[in-house]
Amino acid sequence: MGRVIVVTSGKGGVGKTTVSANLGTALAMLAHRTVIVDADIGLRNLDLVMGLENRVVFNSLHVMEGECKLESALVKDKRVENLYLLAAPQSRNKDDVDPENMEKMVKQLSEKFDFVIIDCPAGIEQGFQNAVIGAKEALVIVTPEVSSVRDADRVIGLLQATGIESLSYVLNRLSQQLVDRGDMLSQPDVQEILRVPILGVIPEDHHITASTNVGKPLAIEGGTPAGDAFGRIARRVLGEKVPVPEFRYEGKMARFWKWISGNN
Amino acid sequence: MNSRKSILVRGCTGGLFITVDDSIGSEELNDRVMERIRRVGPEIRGESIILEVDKRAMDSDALQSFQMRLNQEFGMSVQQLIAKSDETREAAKELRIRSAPVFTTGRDPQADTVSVPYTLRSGEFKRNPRGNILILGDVNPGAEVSASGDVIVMGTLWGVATAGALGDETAVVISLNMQATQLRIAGHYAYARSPKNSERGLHPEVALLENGEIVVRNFIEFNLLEREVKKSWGGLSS
Ligand SMILES: Nc1ncnc2c1ncn2[C@@H]1O[C@H](COP(=O)(O)OP(=O)(O)O)[C@@H](O)[C@H]1O
Ligand SMILES: [Mg+2]
Repeated sequence: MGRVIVVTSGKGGVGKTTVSANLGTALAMLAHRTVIVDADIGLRNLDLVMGLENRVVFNSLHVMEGECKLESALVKDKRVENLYLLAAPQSRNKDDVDPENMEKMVKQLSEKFDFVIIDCPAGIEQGFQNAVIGAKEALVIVTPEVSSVRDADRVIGLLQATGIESLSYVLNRLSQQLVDRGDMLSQPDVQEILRVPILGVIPEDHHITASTNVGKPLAIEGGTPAGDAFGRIARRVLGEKVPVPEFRYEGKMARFWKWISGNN
Repeated sequence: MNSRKSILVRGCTGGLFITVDDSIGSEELNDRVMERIRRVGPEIRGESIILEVDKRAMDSDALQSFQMRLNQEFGMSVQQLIAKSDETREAAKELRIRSAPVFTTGRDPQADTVSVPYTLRSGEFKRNPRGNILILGDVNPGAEVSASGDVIVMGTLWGVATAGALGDETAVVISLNMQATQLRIAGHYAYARSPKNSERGLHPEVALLENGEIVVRNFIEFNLLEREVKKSWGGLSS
């Protein structure tokens, strides 16, 4: 049985799809059979980010409703060995998914693959409960913003109540420059609230935008700050002890006060 | 001893706190207390009363007739009886009035404490309208905790805490690391403190009401007992 990892967040637009695509790619490049499932129905864009949009014929709903075989809905990535995509239906809404069917499909996938990465809706959106069903591991994506941390915190609470066994978070879009200026929450600031293990830190990196536009995950080629961070995260998922970069940390109280008072 | 000194009345959030000296005879007790309450003014109608009688012995008939007069004339009732005499407290028990030998900051020593064995995360709200609440973890930003009595957080309090939610002005908020977004005690509010007053790290503090304002004190230095004594004996006047 492969490992099922749901990728979710508190609020939208924090990098779930980006992390799903790149983590999946990085795991596949480390020779693990990996499928990335787009479960963010209606906001389908994983196929775009992975540059596989033109090859999607069937999607997960077709599989769940028995309209096609699982095999025929899996899109094989031609650039990366061992990497597959299962697209989401775009036109249907999230209530169309029957939780039982979802669980069955995820189980089927976990029998075929080493890793099943599920790109989920944000945690307070509809469809979240469906998407996390059958998963034992969750990865919460959070950006160093007060609102993102709050919502991530809430989702962690929800996940802990669903029976997820292993939960960690990824801090995305960290800008050390802003942290140093006292304009952004630092990793310890976020850790102090979330208090679950951190799987990795991904820096703010303009290469992401370009890679999204051309549909080629950064993790395919090394040499970019974010791309390398995804590689490290994949190795941590595999149990390797790769140190999380330590950040310099000063002016903490000043930032904290800004943070608190910004919320009143 | 004149009547001004033998009956003391003060307002507390729950209603009126009335102390009756043992020098007042039992036959004049009802009249004297009613007259004293009348002098407070019409706005106190319907309030509840904490009656303190020192060593006076009252049987249930005496207590009941007192209750009836109170009810007829002011629509009020005795909610709590502070009496040193076992007989008086026994009578209170018969009439289902809460009683205690000494007044302890208005907090009910028998109040239930609800214990929450984990961290409250954003969006979570835990409360105990019937006593105290104990959080064995943090109260994160965006989380809220509330109690009619005290709030005790065995971790960092980032979120919003309300103590004395039903008006108990003696209720306190205690936390190992006080970083609250907002504190509320009996309808009074306080917001996050400025950074220079607050230090990080485990540093137990207590938030309490003093002269209608929420103040935060080092919990170790703060002597709860001393405060209780002041509250119950110092604040009485007519
Ligand atoms: N580390 C990063 N640096 C720069 N841009 C990023 C980073 N992570 C995500 N983005 C950008 O943020 C936007 C939202 O990311 P996406 O993965 O689609 O979020 P979600 O799936 O959570 O809605 C995208 O435009 C993406 O390119
Ligand atoms: Mg997405």
